Amino acid sequence: MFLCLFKWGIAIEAMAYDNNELRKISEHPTWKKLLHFEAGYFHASISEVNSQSFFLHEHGSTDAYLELQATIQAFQYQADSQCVFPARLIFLQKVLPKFQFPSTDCPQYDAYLTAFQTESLSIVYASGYLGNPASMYGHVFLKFNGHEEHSLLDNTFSFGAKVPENEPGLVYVTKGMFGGYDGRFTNQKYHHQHLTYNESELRDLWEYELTLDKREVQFLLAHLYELEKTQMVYYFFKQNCAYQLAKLLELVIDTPLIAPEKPWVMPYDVIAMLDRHDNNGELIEDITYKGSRQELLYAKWGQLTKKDKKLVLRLISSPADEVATIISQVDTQNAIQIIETMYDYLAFIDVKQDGLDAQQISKRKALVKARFALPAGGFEWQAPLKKAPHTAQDTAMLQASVIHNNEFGALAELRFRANYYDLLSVNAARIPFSELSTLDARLTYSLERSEFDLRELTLIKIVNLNVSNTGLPQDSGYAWKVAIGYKPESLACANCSTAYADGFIGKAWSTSANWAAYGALAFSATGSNRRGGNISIGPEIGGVINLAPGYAVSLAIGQQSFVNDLEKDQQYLAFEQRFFEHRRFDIRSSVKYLDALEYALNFTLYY
Amino acid sequence: MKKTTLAIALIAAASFSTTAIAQEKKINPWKQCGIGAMVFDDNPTAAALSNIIWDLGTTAVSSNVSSQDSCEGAEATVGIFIKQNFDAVVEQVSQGEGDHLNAMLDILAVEGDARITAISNVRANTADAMANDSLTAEGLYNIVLENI
Repeated sequence: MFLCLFKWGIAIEAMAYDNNELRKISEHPTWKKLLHFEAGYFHASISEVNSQSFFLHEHGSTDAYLELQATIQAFQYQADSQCVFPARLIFLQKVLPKFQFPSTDCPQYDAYLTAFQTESLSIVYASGYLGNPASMYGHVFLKFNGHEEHSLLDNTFSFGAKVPENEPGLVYVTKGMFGGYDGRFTNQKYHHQHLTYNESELRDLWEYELTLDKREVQFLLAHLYELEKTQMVYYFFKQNCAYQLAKLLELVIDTPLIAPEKPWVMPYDVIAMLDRHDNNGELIEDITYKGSRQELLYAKWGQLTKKDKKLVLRLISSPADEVATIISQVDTQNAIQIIETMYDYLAFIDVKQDGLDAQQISKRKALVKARFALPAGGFEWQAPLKKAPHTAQDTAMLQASVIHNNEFGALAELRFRANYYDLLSVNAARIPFSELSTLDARLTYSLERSEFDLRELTLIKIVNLNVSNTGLPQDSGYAWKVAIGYKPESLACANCSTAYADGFIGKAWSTSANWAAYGALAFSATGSNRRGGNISIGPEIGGVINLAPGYAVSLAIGQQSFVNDLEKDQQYLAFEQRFFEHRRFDIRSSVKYLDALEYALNFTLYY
Repeated sequence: MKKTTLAIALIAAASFSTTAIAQEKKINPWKQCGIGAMVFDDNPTAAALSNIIWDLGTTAVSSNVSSQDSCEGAEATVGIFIKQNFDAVVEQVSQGEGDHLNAMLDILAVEGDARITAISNVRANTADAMANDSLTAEGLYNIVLENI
């Protein structure tokens, strides 16, 4: 300890920087960001990194000044420590221009920079995936763009939790929410990401190329190198992939990338914040869409002629040994289009079925053989027109409503939905005709009775109509819904809300991107049997129509019988319409029936 | 199916980044680096390694910083790439163009006229293998290396 103090004294003298100046540097926002210092609700600013090897001072994780002192000292007397913390070195050389640190060779770091030769940096948004709770809200990762025209060999970094294999679902969710996992940055080639997202999970990728210059990109690479062996606690709702990426980018982007109004962080919010501070191209250079295999199939299918569509259907229903005969019925260009569509179709159902059957594998081989018999060169398909994720409506909802209820007159309602979107939201880069709502609360005030009522609190509601875009076999799944929370048993009673779990399973139809209709078997379980029973089941029909960009309608009508009191039943209706197409607001109106009729006019803000 | 492929690739990457042993004489990466022997779903090693993260970026994939004759070299890298992306690569070889095909040749640093010739020859030889129903990932790997 004495030796350290002695050496430190030499360092200070040599540097001609006094303690006040150094203390000021230790408060510099970039130094704090390099150490990942953040203030919490219950503690002052300390580091979120929980690997002691990341700190050169034993109290470096809680004291940025001590860590600064230790870093300067190490860089001066153990020059190879500069190779471990290249971003700190870049920062200190900038803020301590009067001091020359001894130079040293860092072959491993140099090799890393050579391997990461980068022209520009992109943030990539992967659309949500309802098949996994951790992926429902999408994902973001960084992509360091090389000079090749394609991007498959570009390097990517993303932050994720280290989850043991075969972790039980409940444990996974609980530990994810409450900090039971360590997280770290991972480095993979982009073709891994393409395989994971575009191919295996059928998710779209949106690439936002940023305007950062090479010096800024190199600073980020240097800091990622420092983070190679470090860990930070992963929290699903805040300290997640989006949060860590935003914090990293804030090292070189002088504007907050975490939405200030929200205590949670979502991938969409980082993209939205980039767009919010873009000022016509200051942050975002370009946006590129990489569709999933499913979307590639849909795009190709939409460009086929009727005759070619029939031939695709014949290929799907015929045995492999008829492939060549079917293909021979059209000219070369059409044959190429049909085969490329079939490639996407088989890759798509490979995922849907979790593998192709023997017949499909043989058919795929026959298609490849048929393609080899044709000249080289693909067909120039038109790129699909897709709205980028930042154009979607913001995800947190604050809604004020006036309501008329046939039984007890006028109500005023205040509604807050933490996230994310519903069937009528202005959606982009989200699963079509789906809903994902969490923490949706409605507080009503009765003008007649002069009392407040927490009428509804939906913890989670997921709807996926799963419509077929092509009509091809297996291009659809079950339409389904699950919802859990607390809501009124009837619209005819006051203060009669109870715990519930409900859902449906059925089938949806659609012939265009503008509408979908479904028929389903719906079921509901409630915590009270005031209306006859606890468990009810029955048919439900409904749908969604986007009649114009600024006008959309949804409808659900159902009839249910109580399983534990067969003489009692219930009918319900929910009709809702949205006016305007804007990211930050809309006006809605609704008609609902459940024992009583209720009309509402809703004014909604999104942030 | 594709998830299995991804797991294989991660295991392969892990093997290469942890067994970076320079070889004195030229090796066959497919056989000696174990690309062909990667085993699948129910292998406990696969489970243990599927979270391997710091994998290809800093070492194995970059032919610039790795030895041509080791399991970190371009040939091994292209072997993993073919194994992992086999369906997409075969599709694009049949079409004679595509990003995966270009990426494969970029790994092997085949450029200019040599690239055009390589694509043509790989396509012709792969077509023959398909006609004989004998095309495997290893077969395609050998075809690619024989035609660059």
